[in-house]
Amino acid sequence: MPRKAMETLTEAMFYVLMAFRRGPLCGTEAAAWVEERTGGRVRLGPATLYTVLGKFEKERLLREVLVEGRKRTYVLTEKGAEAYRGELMRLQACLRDAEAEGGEKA
Amino acid sequence: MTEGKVVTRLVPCPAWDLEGMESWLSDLAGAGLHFQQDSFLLGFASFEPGESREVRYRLEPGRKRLSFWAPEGDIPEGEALELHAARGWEYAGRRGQFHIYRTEDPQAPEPDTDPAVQALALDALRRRLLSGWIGLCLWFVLYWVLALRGVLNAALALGSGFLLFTLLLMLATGLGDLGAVRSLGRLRRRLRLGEELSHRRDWRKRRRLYWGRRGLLTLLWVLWLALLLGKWMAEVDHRGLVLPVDYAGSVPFATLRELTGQEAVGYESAFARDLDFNSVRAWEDPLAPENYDWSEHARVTYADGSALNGDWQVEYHRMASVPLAKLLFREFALRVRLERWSTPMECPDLGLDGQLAYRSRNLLSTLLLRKGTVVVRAYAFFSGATPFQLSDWGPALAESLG
Repeated sequence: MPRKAMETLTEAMFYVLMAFRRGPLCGTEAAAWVEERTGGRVRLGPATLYTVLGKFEKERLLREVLVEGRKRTYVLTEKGAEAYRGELMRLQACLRDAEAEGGEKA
Repeated sequence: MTEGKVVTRLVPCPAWDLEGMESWLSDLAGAGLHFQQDSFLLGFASFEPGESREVRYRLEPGRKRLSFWAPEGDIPEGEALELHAARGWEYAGRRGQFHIYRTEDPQAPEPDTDPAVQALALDALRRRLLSGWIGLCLWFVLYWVLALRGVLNAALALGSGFLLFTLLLMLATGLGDLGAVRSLGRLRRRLRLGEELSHRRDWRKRRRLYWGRRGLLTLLWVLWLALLLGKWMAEVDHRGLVLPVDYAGSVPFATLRELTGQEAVGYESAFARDLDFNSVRAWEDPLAPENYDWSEHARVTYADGSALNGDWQVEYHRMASVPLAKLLFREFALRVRLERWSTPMECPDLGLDGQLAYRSRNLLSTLLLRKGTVVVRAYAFFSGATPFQLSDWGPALAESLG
């Protein structure tokens, strides 16, 4: 059962999971991908990224697969994929509700 | 100020005051003083004078407990260093449970770009501090109970005034840790509400209060150490100990000479001038107005030519009240039960308020007695042609208590 803090992912957390869906990455690569994907809108500071990676590894959403010097490479676990899907559904539900209320279509 | 000559400054705020620490370090950099890596020591920090530069400093909680003695040491993990370096932040040192990073690059992104995630990191630290504080309290209670064999026993051994001083000092020090927990909790709440930390706070406002508190606590600990050292040296030097033959007063319990009865015709103290074998210490304490530690080694001879070698030690406490006496008796009795090598012994009914006989680990017959406010622990070993056992000296001791 996820801890209360992880039940709703922040935007930064969500994009980190999204990045790792692409395959094994180290933290720097994940941050670079997120920044590129969002056009610079979401920038992951090193402390934020380090905290998120640590939390995700502890919660078994990520698993370390390689250590090369100071660089650590992770892969998304099944639990992490499930957390991503869950958050995606939640965001989609929010979007549907907003559109039903007469908001602009995305 | 000469460039290159290191300057020392007193840190104006605690480590967990992130905004204060970051602002202070950045302000000093703006004034041309640059933090020397890993130079925090005993509340001071060292700086290298140079040109005024815009340097951002940021404090981040360690993922695990940071300590020089911890298996992982007190430096950041390689991954943390790598992630920060990739974004233009260099590691500058540690203070308390926080790592310090800095950058001169105005383009370098802030290390913390998500307040909710930063709150998570602070929350983990806060929980560690709180569990550490609780652990320390538990250890403290267990230590007094188990290692020092009870609070009253410790008070009488160290002095109740000194013990109270120690307890209050530890409480005051512990409150500092609780203050950190509370402060981090407030910070965490602000972050969860989406508020970002201020990196340019006026750290001057509360520095005098911080210095005052810290200075006072430091002085009190120095005083405590000096008192403890004084006690230790007094014990090493046998200060306060007097030879029984030189002791001017009388003691409210039977001495070996008195125990062995009127029939003895000769008394020769063994190691007569050696305080390690023969000594009296008398002292007062608010919890027990009259206390004695008595040690006596002697050879007693009788008219029929027989002799008795005796080793007689008495610990006597006249407590300030009956409840205190009951408590001390219980502490001593509990110690006997907890010590695996204590063996219960038969003891005649001495008509007292409490009695317990056992053979201690050094094979001495031991009698623990309580009469009113008086608690006595007596150890005896006698050898000679005529046996002189607990059933002989126990009643004599009990009678001598009045």
